[in-house]
Amino acid sequence: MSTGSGAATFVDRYPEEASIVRQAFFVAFVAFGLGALFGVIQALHRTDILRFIPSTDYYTVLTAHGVLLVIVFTIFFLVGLFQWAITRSFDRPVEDIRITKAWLALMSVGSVVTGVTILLGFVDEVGISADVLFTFYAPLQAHPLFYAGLAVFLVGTWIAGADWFRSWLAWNAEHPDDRIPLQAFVVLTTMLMWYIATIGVAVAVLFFLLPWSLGLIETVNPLLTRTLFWFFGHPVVYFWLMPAYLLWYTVLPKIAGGRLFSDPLARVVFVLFLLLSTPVGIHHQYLDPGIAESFKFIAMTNTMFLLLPSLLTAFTVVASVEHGARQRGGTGLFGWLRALPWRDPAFTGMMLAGLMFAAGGFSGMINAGMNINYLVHNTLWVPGHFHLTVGTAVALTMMAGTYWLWPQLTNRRLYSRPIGLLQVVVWFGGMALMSNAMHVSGLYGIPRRTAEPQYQGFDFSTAFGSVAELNVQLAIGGTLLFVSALLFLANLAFSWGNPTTSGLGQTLPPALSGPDDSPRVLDNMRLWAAIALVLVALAYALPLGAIVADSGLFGPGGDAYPVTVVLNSVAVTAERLTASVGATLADVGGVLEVIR
Amino acid sequence: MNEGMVSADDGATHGDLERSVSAPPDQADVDRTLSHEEFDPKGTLALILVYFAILVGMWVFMYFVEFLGNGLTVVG
Amino acid sequence: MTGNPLRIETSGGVLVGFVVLAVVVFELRTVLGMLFGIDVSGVVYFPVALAVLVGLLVAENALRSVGSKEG
Ligand code: HEM
Ligand SMILES: [Cu+2]
Repeated sequence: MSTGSGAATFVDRYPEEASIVRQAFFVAFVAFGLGALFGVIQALHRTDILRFIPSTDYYTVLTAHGVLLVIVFTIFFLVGLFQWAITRSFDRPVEDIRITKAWLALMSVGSVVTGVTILLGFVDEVGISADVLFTFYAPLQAHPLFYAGLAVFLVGTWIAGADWFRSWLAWNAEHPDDRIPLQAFVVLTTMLMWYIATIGVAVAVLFFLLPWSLGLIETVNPLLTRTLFWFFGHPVVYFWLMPAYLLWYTVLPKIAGGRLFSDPLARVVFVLFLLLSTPVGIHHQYLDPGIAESFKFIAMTNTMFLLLPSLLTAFTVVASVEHGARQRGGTGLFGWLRALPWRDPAFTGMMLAGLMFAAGGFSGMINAGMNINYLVHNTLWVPGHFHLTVGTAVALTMMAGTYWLWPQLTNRRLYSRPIGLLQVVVWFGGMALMSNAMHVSGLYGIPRRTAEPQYQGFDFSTAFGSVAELNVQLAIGGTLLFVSALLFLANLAFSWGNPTTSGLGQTLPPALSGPDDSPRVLDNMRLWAAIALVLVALAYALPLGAIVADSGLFGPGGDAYPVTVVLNSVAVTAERLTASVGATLADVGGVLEVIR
Repeated sequence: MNEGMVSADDGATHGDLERSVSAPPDQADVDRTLSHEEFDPKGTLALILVYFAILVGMWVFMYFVEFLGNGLTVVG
Repeated sequence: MTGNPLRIETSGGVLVGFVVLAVVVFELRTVLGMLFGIDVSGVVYFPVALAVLVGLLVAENALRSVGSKEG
């Protein structure tokens, strides 16, 4: 039966681990499908092409879209991919499969709790909602279950990281003189970054938002929880990106027919991300009052340094692909591009994702500038930007990577590679339309997070074309994206019906310039973690101190919105009533005073 | 079908390998093998320079025309 | 392309190249509008652009089949 020419697949060698990876991917893709559905609803609703939900439900949809896609989809894919990478590159099974199952279960339970809490927002009768968007800024308040689910999910990811560090320690004991394999290196540095980053949300959720939504504390300091959110919010974008980078650095060169150009350069890049991705979060708060300009300026400077690892990545990855093209017989300054395997959806998907990332780099530079950010802040430009980065560079790479990984994880072929190719190309085209429309709309001042961005007695003035035209563009783009998402999911579903085949295994070639060309200190995780912590302390101690000194840990007071807990809401309504009655009486008194 | 297992070499011609699995199964039969020394990524450099030129051009436009060119926005 | 089993003359490359070109042509109108302040009506621009792109595709196809007959 087995006459295949290829090597053993991952699932042949590590069936239990492969099953974990498949389960994580399954959750990721369910979230992706739901998220894409909500995406197209938004695209049609806010452009007034088709409105089949009441506008009051728009924020439930938007919250579900954001959370399902950037928390559930990306992070479940990440843990699946990282489990594959750790097991494959250390070439050893997990230390204790029960732990591995436990963290996957925790993450899943947490996601389901948070997800259901959000979706209950559609059912008014239940009185539970969490329409707080994925940034959950106070004074927006969600039902406690939203925060609780999030906390459980986070704990799951922490255990996952610990599980991988444990694998490393066990491997290291047996290979004391070896360099950490590159894939494992990516996982370990990324998880260190994650531990540091999640301090921010964990504090915000556990000490402030959850107790507040439970009614244990009266108020929170919105600027403090916001700043803690962005402490996490910037590094999380690199957390989304690192699985894509892992695929670009270690799988893409192989698919292109070449080898990674430089392993040492790759290590430097991942260390730089660990060091620099947290002390920049304030660049999301350029417009927040209450944070001194000087802190914003420091955040901007750090952000500009972050361009370095991204440029290094562009160079290394493209050079590796060029290496493949030249090995395949490509020639010329640009002619080598023709020698690449464009018919392969895994290859083309990753390349188009990279191309869109390059475009996203441009709008990112605009966002990052402290003054020029004022031009685009909170406009539709911003979703335009991040649908290029997380919505395409990351999401499309994950889909493309799945096309390559699928046989390794299941011993089954993909149902159809041509459909896969069509799918990635449609995503690219659809995103070009949607993102272009969003960027341009943003420059005209059209706001994001708005169900009905049309106002009485006011028209957005356009430099060219018309708002109506941009709306059509956005809606067509969004629809194409949705179709592409369906094609992807259907292709995978049909692939499950393929018979199992032996000999589909593939190996990953070593880098042209291997790890031994780099100093050993690069592998010193302790050192990098320590430096990263120091940088974070330097960047955040003063701003956080100033915020707390200004308005206290729990802020100056104010009401939460909406008031979800019934008991609370009665109390608050009563309070508001007395307050307004009091105010009216006082007014009456004042008027009387004047008259008299 | 036959106990659910078919071979990867199910009559596929060599060229079809590209279709049946995602990439050539191994790197042995590439046209030529290029070592680190022989390989000079000049195409990459060219692409990155083109990208850079576009980037700088667009940034300059955004800053000087869109940003400085727009008047002050006074809120409230 | 004899002797190179890995390099099939793929129509995949043509498809991808075509789509990337289409996106570039599409963005060109934005560039004209934003950078140069030239407001080209979409009703004119898109049909013309589409015609040009399809023309290119047909021409490419014809050239390629001529090429492969010779080879
Ligand atoms: C079917 C494909 C998609 C469509 C049609 C779509 C559409 C949209 C639209 C129109 C908005 C803006 C809504 C507004 O501000 O009023 C939006 C927001 C957003 N999208 Fe998507 N999107 C898609 C895929 C994705 C993917 C793949 C990701 C990330 C992995 C993503 C992440 C987000 C996030 C984080 C927001 C912001 C939510 C917020 O403001 O709280 N989207 N999407
Ligand atoms: Cu950021």
